Amino acid sequence: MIKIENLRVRFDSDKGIVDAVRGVTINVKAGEFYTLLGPSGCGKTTTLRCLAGLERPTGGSISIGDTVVHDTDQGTSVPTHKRDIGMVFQSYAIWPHLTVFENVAFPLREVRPKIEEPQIVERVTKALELVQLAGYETRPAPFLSGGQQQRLALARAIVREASVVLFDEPLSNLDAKLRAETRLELRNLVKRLGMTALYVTHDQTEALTMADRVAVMRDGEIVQEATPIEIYKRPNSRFVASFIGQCNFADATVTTCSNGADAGMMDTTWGPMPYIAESDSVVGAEVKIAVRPENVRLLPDGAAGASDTPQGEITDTVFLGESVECRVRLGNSDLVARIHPDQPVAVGEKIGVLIRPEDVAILSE
Amino acid sequence: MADTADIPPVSTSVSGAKAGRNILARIFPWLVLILLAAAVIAPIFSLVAGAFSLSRLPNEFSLDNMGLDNFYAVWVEQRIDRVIWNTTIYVIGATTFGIFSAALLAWLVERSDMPGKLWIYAGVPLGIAVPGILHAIAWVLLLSPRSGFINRGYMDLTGSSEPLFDIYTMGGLIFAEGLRLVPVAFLMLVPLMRSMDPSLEEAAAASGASPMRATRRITIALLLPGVLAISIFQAITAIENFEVPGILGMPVNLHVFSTRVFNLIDNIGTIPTFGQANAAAVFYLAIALVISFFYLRLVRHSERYSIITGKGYTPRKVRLGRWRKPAFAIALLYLFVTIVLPFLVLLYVSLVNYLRPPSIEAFTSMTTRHYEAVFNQPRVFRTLMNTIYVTLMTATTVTIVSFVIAYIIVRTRFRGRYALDMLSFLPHSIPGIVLGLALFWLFMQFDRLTGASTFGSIYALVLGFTILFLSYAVRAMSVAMIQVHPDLEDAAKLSGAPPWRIALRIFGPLLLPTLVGIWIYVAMLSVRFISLPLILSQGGSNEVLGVMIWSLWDNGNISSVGAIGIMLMSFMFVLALGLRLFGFGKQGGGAL
Repeated sequence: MIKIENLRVRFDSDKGIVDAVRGVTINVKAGEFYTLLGPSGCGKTTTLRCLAGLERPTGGSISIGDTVVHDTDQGTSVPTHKRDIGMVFQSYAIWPHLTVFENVAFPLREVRPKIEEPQIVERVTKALELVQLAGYETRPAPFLSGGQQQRLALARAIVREASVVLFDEPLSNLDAKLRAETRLELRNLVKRLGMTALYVTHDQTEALTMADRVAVMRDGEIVQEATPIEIYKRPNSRFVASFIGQCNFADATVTTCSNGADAGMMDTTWGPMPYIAESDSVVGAEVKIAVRPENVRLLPDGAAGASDTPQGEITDTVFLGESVECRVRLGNSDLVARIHPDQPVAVGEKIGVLIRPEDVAILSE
Repeated sequence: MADTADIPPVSTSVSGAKAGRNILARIFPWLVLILLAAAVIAPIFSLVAGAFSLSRLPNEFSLDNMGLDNFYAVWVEQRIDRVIWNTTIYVIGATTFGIFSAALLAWLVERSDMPGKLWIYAGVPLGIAVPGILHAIAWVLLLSPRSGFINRGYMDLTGSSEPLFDIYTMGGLIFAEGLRLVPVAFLMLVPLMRSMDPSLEEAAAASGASPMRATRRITIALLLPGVLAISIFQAITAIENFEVPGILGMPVNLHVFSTRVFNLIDNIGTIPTFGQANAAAVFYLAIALVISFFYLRLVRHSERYSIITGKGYTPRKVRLGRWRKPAFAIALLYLFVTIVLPFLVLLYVSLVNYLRPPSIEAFTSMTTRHYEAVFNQPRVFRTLMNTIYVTLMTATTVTIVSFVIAYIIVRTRFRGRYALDMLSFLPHSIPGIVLGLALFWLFMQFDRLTGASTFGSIYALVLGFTILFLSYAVRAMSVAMIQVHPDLEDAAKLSGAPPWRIALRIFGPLLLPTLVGIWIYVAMLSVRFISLPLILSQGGSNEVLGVMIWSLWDNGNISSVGAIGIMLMSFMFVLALGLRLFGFGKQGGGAL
């Protein structure tokens, strides 16, 4: 449905030439919820704006459905208002001089040939019902709360029933509780309407909970593209690992190779450790590994298998409510383990540290 | 819904008409830039060229007859250094007095618990409705040394042979011009004081600073860059002003730059020295440009201090205690002195049968015959129509042109937009009298070469006013456009609206208060401004009301001045009320 090929954007700003996007290629299937995730300034919003036609790429091509909307080589560029898209802005961009009804009706009134008024009323009413704003039609738009404005922006984006909806950090202006509720509502609505969504965010939780596929961007390039589970469990770089959740990192040298089914062994700064990886690495190869804190299990003396594991010493604990974070001295360095708050731990305690081979992610850096 | 079958196929080939539109869209900003550059630079060029011309008259201008004699004459014979000295005292005095008064009023309205604030807040800006020439004339009628009503009353009461205060002095000049600066300075200072985050002061208090020290170290320190910028802005206004020094200084040969330049070409009993006037105007322009340059530097610098966060604060109000009533009395006194008094004085002289100090006898002799006389003159009717025509044309042209320029500056990535920005600011530092003189030369040369008669036409005035008022309008328009979030337009684009529909349905309605505000304000300026038409008005075909008042006053026809002045002021008050009701929304003239 969305096809972006080798997209490049170069800005001629006051501070000199900036390459905001350097060769991004994305392929989104019809009905898919696709998320671009990355820190501010990584080029994710620029990519989205290129797709909307609000920014002019300096290279590459974009097509929506079967229509080529931009192709730098051929000099093609379809203006924004002729593209088959809807968009929700970070600022909501609710027109302050129009009522709730007129805000939503606006896209329909721009359709040529003109749509009959009764049909406009019907479609606007339906869109407002979908976002639970029925009954607010006559209210001036600025009199809505933040959450209501966000839903109004959504209604306006879907009312035209365009095949693609774009989201530019639509939840970042809501408070945490409302954001959590809206995440699922929004995803369900998009899925129910069968729309293709491109969603831009810097919030990892949003990316993981809403997306079918996530692309992590950095400095104008996509560094990893995968399903949320894959990207969380098998980050391919230190950047992705630390951007999505917390991570422990260590240097390692392969001592026995893994062939994907059987575990291999490596020497790490934490001591010798078994691992499983698809690609077979060479013995003696220097690699970097990452382990999530919740995958570090602490086994007290006497627990099953505790004697087989390397022994560490707890140097610090932080109570977080839903979990307890322990800093553990293991081998030549520290690592952080996140454990259930019921598990009794004490600073200074010697404890077994268990990391399962499948939880060790090898970074490509 | 995700079905793509019903999407109309978008043609990927570029049709001829489309290509033509694209080229037009690309060329258009350059066209605007070139036209603006021509409108601003051509007059200045002809002014400078004229300064080197040794011909007796502008239409004898020839490249063979050039030299530096005019500059020598102006510097040595005309003692322009004295004029510089006078101008300096006048500008510093008037600005200091004006800013101090405006700051006091703004502080009382915004940060104190003075009663009756709403009246002051609504009343002070009405001061812009009093044209400078009428303001100055009213003070002459009150404070001229022998016949001024106040001075006469004082001398009659005390038996003194010395007047209480002579308005024909530097002190009088500073006083009258300072009062005139207050309304705009007030409108600029109020948002500055309102936008101050009270938590900055509270943080100072929490750090152990006493209220006095918090005010000094935080409030004043934060306001200072803004106040300084506004002061320089007002100093530019004062240096360019012609009306007040023209009425109060010129009759006693107390010259500042604007009156000296005018005096060189319009002095009864002497031959006009056009080349010397140009040379003096070049000095004048250079000084104005230098001050404007510092203003721009300062404004750019002070953005770092920007304390405007866009949040609506309700700053703590300072309790005035027993000073509440006296404070209100002072504020009311200002309103009385600047708005009510000039109106009453002119009303009085327009109604008494001949000019004399107020007495019971005078009041019983009141008559409307001066009004009838004024209306019976065909000249007045023609002048009135000219004024209305010039005002409508100027206000509309400036509004449209400033919209286009501001749009290019704010909303496009046009490569020449900084040049456009600079060029549109430049006219702000060109004094009206200088631009009048410059256009006078330009039109003379143009007419001589083409045989046309642009000089003396009504469009000469429209062009001159448009150049003069453009910088203000572009600034106000840019500020308003920046406040319209680009997302609002982008959202309309994404809703399928083509550019002209966006302008009509989103941009237009959102900017309407600004468009109306600029239109009315420019209309008021074109009625008020007399320095430029004084030079460009030639006979009946393009005489405007301001010029007629000037010549009537010159001829001592005070009753007619009163009658026309009252009508003019009433009209201006209506415009000013319109400005407050429809223009700029609730923010007042924050963009002024």
